[in-house]
Amino acid sequence: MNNSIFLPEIAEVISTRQLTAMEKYIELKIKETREFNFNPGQFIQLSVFGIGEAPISISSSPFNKDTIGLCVRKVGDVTSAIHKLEAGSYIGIRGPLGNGFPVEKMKGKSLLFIAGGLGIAPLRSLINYVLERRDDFAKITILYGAKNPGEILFTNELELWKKRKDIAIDITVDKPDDNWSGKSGVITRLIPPLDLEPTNTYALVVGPPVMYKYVLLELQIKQIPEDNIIMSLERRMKCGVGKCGHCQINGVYVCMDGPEFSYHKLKFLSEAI
Amino acid sequence: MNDILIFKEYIGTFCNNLKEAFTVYGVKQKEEGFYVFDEIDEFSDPLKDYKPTILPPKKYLFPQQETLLRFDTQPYPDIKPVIESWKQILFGVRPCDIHGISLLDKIFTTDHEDKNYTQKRAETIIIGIDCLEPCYEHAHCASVGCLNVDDGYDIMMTDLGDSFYTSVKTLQGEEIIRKYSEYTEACKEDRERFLRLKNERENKFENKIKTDVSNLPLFFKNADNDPVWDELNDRCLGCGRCNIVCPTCYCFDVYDCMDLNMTSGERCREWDACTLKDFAVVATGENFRSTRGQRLRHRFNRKFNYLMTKYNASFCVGCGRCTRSCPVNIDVVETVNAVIKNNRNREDE
Repeated sequence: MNNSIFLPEIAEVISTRQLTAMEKYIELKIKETREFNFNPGQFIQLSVFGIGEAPISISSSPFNKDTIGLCVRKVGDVTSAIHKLEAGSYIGIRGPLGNGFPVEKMKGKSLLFIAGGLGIAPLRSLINYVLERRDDFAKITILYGAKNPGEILFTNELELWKKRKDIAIDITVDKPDDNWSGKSGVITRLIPPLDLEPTNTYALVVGPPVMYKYVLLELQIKQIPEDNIIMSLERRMKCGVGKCGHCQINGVYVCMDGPEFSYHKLKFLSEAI
Repeated sequence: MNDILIFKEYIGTFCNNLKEAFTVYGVKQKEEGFYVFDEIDEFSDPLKDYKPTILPPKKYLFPQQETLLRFDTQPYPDIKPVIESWKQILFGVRPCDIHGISLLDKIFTTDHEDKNYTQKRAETIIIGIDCLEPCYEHAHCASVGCLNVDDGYDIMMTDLGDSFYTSVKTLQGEEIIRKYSEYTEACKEDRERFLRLKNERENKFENKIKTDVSNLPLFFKNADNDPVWDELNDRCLGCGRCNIVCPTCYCFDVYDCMDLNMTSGERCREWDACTLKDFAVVATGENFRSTRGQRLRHRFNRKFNYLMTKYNASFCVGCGRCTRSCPVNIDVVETVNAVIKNNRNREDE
């Protein structure tokens, strides 16, 4: 009876932190005493009982086995309810679901992270993973674009990354304000100046659909192979296990076959981006 | 068990006997020309001539609404899965609907087993009734290989006039026949008569789709930009009726319902429809299938390409319910044939 695919396990909210006006970081701990193992890029179905369930990507490092960190933007019923939770509240989770980034294939390669807006949330898990295993990878470049300075996420962590000599990081905002001293303009502008070794580079791209279109053009100019461009897609999901049909893109299910896809795979799917 | 004959005067008793141990669902005429599966009170059912029921019998395995979890949030969350099932018999199921159920079996057991379905399925006995004549103008079962059915039922009955020639497929089927039915062994003449009828029917069922069904995935792979979707875009109302009446549609929505105390409640699922406007909307508001044409294209691809490629079987079973129920007369056979024709025309160019 207890192996219903819809049955969540209970997790406790350990801490919450307001990152921006729209985003909150919450840290969970599952009640059952066991390690929570996952691959960077996997997601969970998060339940607020009485409100519903929503797919949320895991934002914390897979090396942190004790807690699960999620960066949640307030956009719907479930995420608004999550924003109201305080430490000590209980929620339900199912997962980890999906496959995650192909970390084994990426070993020995240079990595180019391209995060647009909330796309930094799943990429942060992968970035923390590769920083922990820094020697397994060649050059690491992080590009991050936000709409305006107020929407930049994980600012403290970005400062730490900036200080590291073994990674390059570049940040831009679409609409700077008076206090912004960094770069402005769309994220695609950060790509042309990069010195990349195309066949030895993986581009890990997560952002809104409109960003994918233009970033892909730039990456093609840089001659990054289509198999080496990995994108993570967002869809609404009701089951997370390949049944409900909501996340289906042509013949593939984002929950079962993704949420990460290579451009080589996506370019044949007309409904993808 | 060898094939048997159940004489028609005993069918009523058989059905009534079954009711003692099972909930029995059979076919009833709801109003002139419209049939439904419903719980049988007394056996007087139009097994012979019924047109496909308004809704297929999948509703007894995958109900329109179903509770998945029951939860209490106070003082500490207590969540229990809810899987409801009981011993049930589906009586008088046609080959197309048996195919429909077999396809759902694949869906709900592959990758992650869906116990809410499989537990109901395990407690279900299917008594089929074979078709000797096309049931109505929209049927195209023969075109999609669903007239003949070799699996997915426990008992299959064929109308010989005064009796039903009955083949028993499973041990469960044998058990209920022995326990609840009056029957006689079928003799050589009965078998010959049965085979002759089966043989004669072959010519009566027209192959309406203008290619072998196995070619359809390829035709649909090449039809993403087919003009037929533009034409249907202007006709389709996006009402979702074709999804709701389909024996192989299984998309669903999940939602929570709180009790009045606001501390306990249920998580439920409900049939959803990929032709509805909001089906592929994401949290940020983008709709990845924003037009009716795109959504119909998706639905047709699920039947004849995506799922067909994955499971190597047509996910249209040819019952014609979608055509019958479409308020603007979008015809599944016409649409498939238009895709085939346009493909061939493009090849000729």
